Amino acid sequence: MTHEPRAGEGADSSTNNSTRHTDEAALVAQLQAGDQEAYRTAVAKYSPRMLATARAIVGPAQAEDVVQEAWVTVFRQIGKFEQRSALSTWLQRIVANGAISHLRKQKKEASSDTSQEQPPDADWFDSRGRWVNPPVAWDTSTPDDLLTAADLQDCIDKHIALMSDQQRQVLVMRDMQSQSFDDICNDLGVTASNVRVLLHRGRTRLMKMVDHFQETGTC
Amino acid sequence: MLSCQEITAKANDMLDNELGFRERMAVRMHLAMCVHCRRFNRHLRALAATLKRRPDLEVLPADFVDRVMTTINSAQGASEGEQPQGSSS
Repeated sequence: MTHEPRAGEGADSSTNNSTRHTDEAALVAQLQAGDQEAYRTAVAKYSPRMLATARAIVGPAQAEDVVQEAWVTVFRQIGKFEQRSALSTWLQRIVANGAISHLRKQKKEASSDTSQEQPPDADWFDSRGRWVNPPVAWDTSTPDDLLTAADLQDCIDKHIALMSDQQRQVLVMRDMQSQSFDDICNDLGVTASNVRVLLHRGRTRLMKMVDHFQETGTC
Repeated sequence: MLSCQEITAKANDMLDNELGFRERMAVRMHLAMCVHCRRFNRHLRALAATLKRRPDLEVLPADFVDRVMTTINSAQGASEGEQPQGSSS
C-alpha cells in the first residue's frame, strides 16, 4: 500500500488550483472506472516525470521497467486513492518507492552511516572554516542557463549515477520531487539528520562538478 | 560568529526552510558581508532550481504509452475481478 501524502504536498503552485482539481477529479474518477482512454491520457501526461525519477534512482537501463511496474501498481491501487494529495504527487511516490524496492532486490542496502565518508567540501575550507578554495563564478548561473547546457546536463546525470544509492535517493526525492523530510525519512528508514547530511553532500558534489565544468568544459 | 563552512550548511537548511528566524537573519548578515558565501548561496539555489525542473525535459519513447497499456492489460487479465471495464466509448 502506498502512503498517500497530505493535501497540498507537491501541488504545482503555477497551476490554477480549482481547474486542476476539477480536471484531476474527473480523470481520477475515469481511472477508477477503468476507462482505457483515461489510462492512455494519464500515462502520456504523467510518465515523463515518473521516468525522470526512476532514471535518477535506478539508472537509465531499468527506468522504463520501473515506470511500467508503477502503472500496474496504480491500476491496482487507484480505487483506494482518496485525492488527499495531487495525483502527480501520489504517482511520484509510487514510482520512487518502486524504484527503491527495485534497488533493494538487487543489492544489499548501502549503509546510511555518513560519518565515515569524506565530506566533499573538505578541500574548500581551512581548519577554522574559512574559504581556501572559494566557488568559481559560473558563466551560466541561472536555472535556465544550466538547463539548456546539454553537456552539463549529461554531467549531472553522470555524477548523480555515481552517488551512493541513499545519497541519490535523498537528492531525487527532495530536489526533484520536493518531498518532505518526514516522508523521505519514512520511505528510506533514515534519520532526519542523516537525510540533511546526505542532501548537503549530494548538492555539494554537484556544485563542485559544475565548478569543474565551468573551469574546464569537461566532467 | 558563524564560519563560512557553517554558513554553507546553514544555506542548505535555509533552502529547505529548516531555519528559524534568528538563524536566517544570521545567515543573511553573513551573506551581505561575504562575497564567496554569497556566490555559494546563489549557485546552490540555481542548482536546486535546475534539479527541480529537470524532469520536465524528459521525453517519452514513441511507443511507451502502448507498452504501458499492454502491461496494464496483462495485469488486468491476471487479476480477473478487479480489472477495469475497459471502454471509454
